[in-house]
Amino acid sequence: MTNHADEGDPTTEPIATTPADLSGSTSPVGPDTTAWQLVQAKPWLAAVALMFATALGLTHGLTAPPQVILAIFGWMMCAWLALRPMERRPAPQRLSLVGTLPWIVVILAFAGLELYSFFRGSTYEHPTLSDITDPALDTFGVRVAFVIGWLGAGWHLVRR
Amino acid sequence: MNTHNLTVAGFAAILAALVIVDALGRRPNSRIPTLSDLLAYVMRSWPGRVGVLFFWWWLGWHFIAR
Repeated sequence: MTNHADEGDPTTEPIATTPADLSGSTSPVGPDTTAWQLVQAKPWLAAVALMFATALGLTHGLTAPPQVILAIFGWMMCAWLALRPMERRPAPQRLSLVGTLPWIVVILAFAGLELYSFFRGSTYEHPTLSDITDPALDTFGVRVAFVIGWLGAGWHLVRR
Repeated sequence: MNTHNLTVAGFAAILAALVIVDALGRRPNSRIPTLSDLLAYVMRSWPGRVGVLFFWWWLGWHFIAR
């Protein structure tokens, strides 16, 4: 939900809807804050994210540790999103159909190739995207980089 | 070119197209939305928001826990 408290009658008190409002402090983190700016504003958060990425980087394949870590993280994220109101950048109210067409083509091309490879058996001759990325994602550095990028993308999404 | 290389080239082309379309969307007065705006539009509704965020979480699960 976007905080529109400052857009109404200027004589009324703004409604506290963001974590910063609720805590009574001015947070340097706003709806336009990028993941990199967040890291600079809250270094402890970067340390936690790095520890999380390192822990996942040390795991391998379809084993219990990454599944447990990601399941717990998923539940914690759901709880955080449900309990903490967020300031968000306003979403576009309308999209041009013609403008959206390139995205539809890209998404359909990806889905088509992925499904084709999947139904051809996900073999060496017909690999899915994850078959191609698996060897790289089996190395520590790439796993850590992937998790950091994934967390950054998640931060961007919850602010939209 | 064998089918393996053809498939890898296909995914690389799609990734390149994604970057190009997003870059086109960042031009001033572009009718093409950026990927971020497209996702924000989908996430205006509660089911859309849950769906996009779940898909994001699933991507991490799928690529790390396999």
